[in-house]
Amino acid sequence: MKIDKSLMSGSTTLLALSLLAGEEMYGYQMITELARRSNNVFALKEGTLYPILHGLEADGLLSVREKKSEEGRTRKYYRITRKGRKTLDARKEEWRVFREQVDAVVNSAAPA
Amino acid sequence: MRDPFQIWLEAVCEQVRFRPDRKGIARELRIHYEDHCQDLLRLGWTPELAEQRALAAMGNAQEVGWALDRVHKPWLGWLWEGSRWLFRALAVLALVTLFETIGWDSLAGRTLNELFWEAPPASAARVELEHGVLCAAPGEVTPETGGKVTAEIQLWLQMRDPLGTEAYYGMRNWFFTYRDEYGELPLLEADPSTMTAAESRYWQNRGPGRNGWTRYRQTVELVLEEPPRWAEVSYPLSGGDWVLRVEWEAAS
Amino acid sequence: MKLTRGQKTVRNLLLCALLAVLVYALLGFPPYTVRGMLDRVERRYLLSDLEPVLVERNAWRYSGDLLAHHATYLIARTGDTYVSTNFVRHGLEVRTEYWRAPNLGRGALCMGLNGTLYVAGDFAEAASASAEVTARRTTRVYDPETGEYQLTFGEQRTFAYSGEKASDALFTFYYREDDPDTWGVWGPGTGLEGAAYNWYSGYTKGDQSGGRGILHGDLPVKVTLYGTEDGVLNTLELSIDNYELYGWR
Repeated sequence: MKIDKSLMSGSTTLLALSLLAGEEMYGYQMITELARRSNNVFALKEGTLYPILHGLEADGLLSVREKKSEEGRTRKYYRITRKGRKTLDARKEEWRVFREQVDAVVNSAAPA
Repeated sequence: MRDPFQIWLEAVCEQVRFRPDRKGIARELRIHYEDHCQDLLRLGWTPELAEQRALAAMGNAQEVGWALDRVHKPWLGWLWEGSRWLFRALAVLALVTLFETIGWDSLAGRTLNELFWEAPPASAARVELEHGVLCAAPGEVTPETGGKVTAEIQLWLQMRDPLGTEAYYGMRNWFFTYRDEYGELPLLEADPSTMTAAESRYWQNRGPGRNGWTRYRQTVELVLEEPPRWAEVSYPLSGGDWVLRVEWEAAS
Repeated sequence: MKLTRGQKTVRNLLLCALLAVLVYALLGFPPYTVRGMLDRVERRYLLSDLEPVLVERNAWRYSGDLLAHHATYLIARTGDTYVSTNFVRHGLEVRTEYWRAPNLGRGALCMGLNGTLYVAGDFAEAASASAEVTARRTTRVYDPETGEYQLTFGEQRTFAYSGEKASDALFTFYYREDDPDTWGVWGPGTGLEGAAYNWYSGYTKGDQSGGRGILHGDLPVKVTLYGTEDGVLNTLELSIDNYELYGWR
């Protein structure tokens, strides 16, 4: 099912950082990985990923390096930094709290 | 007919005000699009449909471009570029200055002179001035041909602030007054070989000078008729009334 | 560790500041302002509290050079001591006393520059002044028989000028007679400038070309100061190097 975009925008940082928590990836790789992990629920416009990645890099949460593949094409790989990991942990905690509160309201409103 | 992706890409880049970053953005987006096309082709899509699908998936060009522009702030971009160019220019200037104008020799030499410094003897005459401390002590007396004698006076100047080669030039000048028991010693012309008539007594600034950054040494040679017993250095032209007296031990 | 663009910019600017200081030190801390130049003269000649009496500037560019040379000529005073000096800036480098020798005087000092004779002193009470400069033909030749240089003297002439009071410390006397553009190859011909250029000659031992070198000579300068009531206030006996009396720098 498609999720409302407004719910997504606040958490894209969280998603991007989570994807990179394990290994470094390039943009397209992140899109495919995100689709795979979320069972295709998240399908944001791919172009909009890059402003997010560039912004995270400008803030020092990600670092970038270029790698050449066997076919000779250069891709930019993004890797999480220490500052990025700290932010990720903080955001994860925020998300957990938010989710619990939403769950509490939603579930308590269930009809008897 | 232009490639529709190229049109999309140009529309994105147009929104990015800081031009130097456009090339990198274009490369990254293009490779993303091409990777997507490749995947679709592998899944069995036709080339035209794959291109359409991949392009549609990229999103709205204006929105993407506008979002990128917010991140690639032009003022920061230009400041960064400017700082890089300024650094390069100054680095070149520093190298040129090092070798052309001053040279390693002078830089190293002066630092060495400053570090390996021979202090004036405790018995040297000294005076404290606004810009530093001036000391004078007697030096060697050597007989010369023609019955003349050269006597050295050693001068030390310890300045309060490090600055260029001020004192070096100042000490080599002719504004100090030297006198011995016979009176004031007149200044010798720069090139004694062109003197028209020999003066009976004269002095000149010659001999090694050693310059550090705050410490300077200069040897003054007096050319006299006979070995001196004492000499006095003063600087009446400056308005100061100090006098440094040096005395030679009587020769055996 | 990778830095963000902002951090890189700050780092670059700090390095730039460091390099600028290094370059400034390597150049020998060149003075670019008059106050900087006076501080330098104070250290050079162990003087204190110099105040400017005269600041003149000049600029020229040699045909092969990219940048021009900018000269600043100074007369400064501390108490009763007067000092004249000059600085020439070429690009970032500043050279001191580049072309003409410095001078130090008690009570008064004179300096010649580009057709004008400047006399500095305590002139608060002087209403007007006149200057007389005496030039004498002086020739130095090498006498092979005695193995020494000989000086011979010829005609003598005194040039008189009336001065303009530029300030309580400065009188100026304009002595130039012809426009430097009309000089041609032989230099100035007439007046004090011509005498300073042509009358002082030195021929070097062994030089067969007959080339004439210009000898340094000290020309006596007598300055008479007049008070407001038409009486002579004071006379000064100064001297000036002929090299300062001809040319434009």
